[in-house]
Amino acid sequence: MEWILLLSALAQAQASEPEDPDGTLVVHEDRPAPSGSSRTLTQEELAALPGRSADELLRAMPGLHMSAHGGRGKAYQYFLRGFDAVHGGDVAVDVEGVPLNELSNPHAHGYLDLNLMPTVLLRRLELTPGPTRPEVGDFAVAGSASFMLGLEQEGGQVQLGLGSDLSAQTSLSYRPRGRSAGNFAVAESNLGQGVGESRAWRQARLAAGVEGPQARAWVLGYAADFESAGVLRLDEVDSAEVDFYGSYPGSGGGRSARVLAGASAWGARGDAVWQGQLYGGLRQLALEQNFTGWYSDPVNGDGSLQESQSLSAGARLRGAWTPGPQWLVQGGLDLRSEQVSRQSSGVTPQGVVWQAGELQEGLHLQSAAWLSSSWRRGALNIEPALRAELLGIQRDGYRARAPVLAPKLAASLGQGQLRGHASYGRGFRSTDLAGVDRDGRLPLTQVDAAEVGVRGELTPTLELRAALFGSLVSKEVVFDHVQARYLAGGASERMGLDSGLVWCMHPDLELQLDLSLSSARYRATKYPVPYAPRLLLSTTLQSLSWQLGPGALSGSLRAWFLGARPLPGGFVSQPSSMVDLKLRYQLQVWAVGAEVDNLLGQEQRDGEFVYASHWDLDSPRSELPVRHITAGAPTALRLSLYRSF
Amino acid sequence: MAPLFLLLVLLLGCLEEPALVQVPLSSVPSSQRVETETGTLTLHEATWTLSDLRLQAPAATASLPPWHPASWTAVAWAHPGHDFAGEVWGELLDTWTLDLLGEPRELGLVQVYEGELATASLTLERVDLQGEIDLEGQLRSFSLSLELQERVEGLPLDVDLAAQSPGALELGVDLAHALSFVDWQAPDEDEDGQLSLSDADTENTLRFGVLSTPSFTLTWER
Repeated sequence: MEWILLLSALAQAQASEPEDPDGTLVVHEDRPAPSGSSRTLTQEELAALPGRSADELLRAMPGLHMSAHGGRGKAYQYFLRGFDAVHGGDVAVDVEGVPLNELSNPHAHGYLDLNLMPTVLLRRLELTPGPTRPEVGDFAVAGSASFMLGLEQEGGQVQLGLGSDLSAQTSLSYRPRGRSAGNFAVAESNLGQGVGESRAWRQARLAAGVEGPQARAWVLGYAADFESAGVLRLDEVDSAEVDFYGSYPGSGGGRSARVLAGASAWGARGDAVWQGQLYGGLRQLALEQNFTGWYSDPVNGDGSLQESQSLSAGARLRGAWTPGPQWLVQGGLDLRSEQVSRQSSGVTPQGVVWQAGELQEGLHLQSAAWLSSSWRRGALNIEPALRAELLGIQRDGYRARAPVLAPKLAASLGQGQLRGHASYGRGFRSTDLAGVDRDGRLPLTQVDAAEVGVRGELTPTLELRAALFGSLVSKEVVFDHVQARYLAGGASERMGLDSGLVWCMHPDLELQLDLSLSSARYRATKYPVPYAPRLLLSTTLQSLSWQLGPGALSGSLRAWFLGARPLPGGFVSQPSSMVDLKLRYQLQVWAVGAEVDNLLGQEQRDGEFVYASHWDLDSPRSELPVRHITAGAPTALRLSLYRSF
Repeated sequence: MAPLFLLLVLLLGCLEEPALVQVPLSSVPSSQRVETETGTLTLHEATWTLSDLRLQAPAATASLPPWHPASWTAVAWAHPGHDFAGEVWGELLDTWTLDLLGEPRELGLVQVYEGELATASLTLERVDLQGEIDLEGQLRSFSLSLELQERVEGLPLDVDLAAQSPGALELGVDLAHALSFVDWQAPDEDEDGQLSLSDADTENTLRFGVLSTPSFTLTWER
């Protein structure tokens, strides 16, 4: 059972509210959200959003921008509230409370590959900008997200899909009738050639879960291989030497596999509930990439192969107690370990390793305790919290440790339609294996973030939220993709506005409009933090179930606009935008679905980078930095047929 | 609304980037007569082969936090003695065989981004020198040729292209400095009747001098 349901049950019990006559637990979440900008999506809302994978659903996070420069299988690059979270280093994501950010992944610390989760299994998604949640620790710098698993629909469903990008999807999911959503079995396959060069992928997923009245277990398995089109020099695209959806030889790709399992038990006694959880996982990843051609090595090329294997295990214990009618106390203990083995080697464009890299091995150990107390009096709700964590790494016979205290405070005021929110939180990011030294120091990145805003209903059909935020980072660490290394960047500061409107245009049709503005600078030099978006405007027109004729239509039309971003060296990216569409028409046990990526057929620049490269060996080796791009999603239509049984 | 408006202006404005411009590069001749500590050189031939000029932006080497007492200095820039070159900001890739005693010559157009420039680098491929030196009334001829293919880094250049009106770069060679390390009175060990590379340590001293950063001048001329 999800923690939020346990809490709601606790609140119900205290208010002596009877259960529904049929025994169904009716959940009313009346506890204010920890952030005025947080958002929770239900299974229906998630199913209506465009996106082939769980990663893409994170676009629903207010202010979050994502970029895919490594093909369908590599982690996305995330940008949120003025942070370039690289591949997840500043955004903590968990599934059922199990952390998904990979420690000491050779490509990026906190690497976040969400392809593990079948989208059909996503039951709930909580998105929280800012480091305000006490139950989340490492990597919750710019924000956090939590996925919950389960099949809403009883019985089985089979899906067959074909796409104009020469793709095919099959999915089979089953939940025994009369059993709860935590009882499921899912098998999925997804493969395709893609539009353009070097974009093929093959993915397979398996998932199973069992749930009883007081215990639950689940397992997720995923395996994939994929190509990556990599970067292109813009001058060569402009001169038609290479196609916008083309690629250079040896542009890269990868192989990815992961198994993750969790088991939890829960109970209630008097005014208290508890939940205990054990989890473990296996992970293998191999990423091949070349962003600079033959710039550094004119003989073998600059290609690299990053390989890693990890074994993770952890335990969590949570409890909640209501000492009084307006008082909720929560606490938890978290333990996490991750044994990592990684290597980075030089490879030729043909994928042959010509220089084997050093094998690095280490063990991450993290332990944490947290406590929060939510107290309500009249229109005022105050929730102070504290998280204490000890982060440790063992490597080559020596240990490094760092304690961190992360206080949080959330308050809201208001009754009825409009509430004011204010919050403060400290977030932190650990260091990877390469960041520790023999004297036991473990440098941490810490952020102190605050937010103040309002949220509520202006009219019965119009909902508003707006928050001003600011944050200070003690020591910025920038990941240099070209050299695959971390660079110290000094202290930085961010400020901005997160705002949104939800307009119920029709009982079955809703329009969401999100606007995020942010400014991020290094404190000493006043230089802008490179790549961090300044303006993100996103709008979604969504219907969860619109009766049309004999059936029901659901889906979303989503458009986003990203303003120009600062790039290193004083360069500036082009603004970019994208429109995606997803529709599904359900008619009794049958349904048809259509999904269109890049509806307007734009040649969108997904990423822009400025550095020197050398791809044409017949031309002199220039050291002048030039613009490189990664091509955004090409236009593709996928049609699916669903049958429930 | 005023703070929001100001924030919008802050966020949406000031997003200009450095433009890539073309700057002419020419060579300036050197003097045929060079004074050294041991005598006056008269050059009959001074032909140097150079290639690949690159211009670099200033490189920040360190910064201090704002609460530090010396934070007014904010950033320590690279300077001679700590020659971390900044990022390459301009470039002209070509090979030029220059007659240093001849007329000025147009070498091409340097592609360079607007902004501050602090250093330059080039490759010295070959040096050919012929002439004679007057050693207190005695004339001694010399013929020196060196194959080098060596990069010369850290040529000083103090230009802010964004603030400059149109102009050009001029590349010169300071032969007085380049030849100042040679012992012109070295014994004629190979007995060829002139000073040549094989005499004593002439090759080393000549190599040291021609590859020395002050042997080159790169100036901005309007």
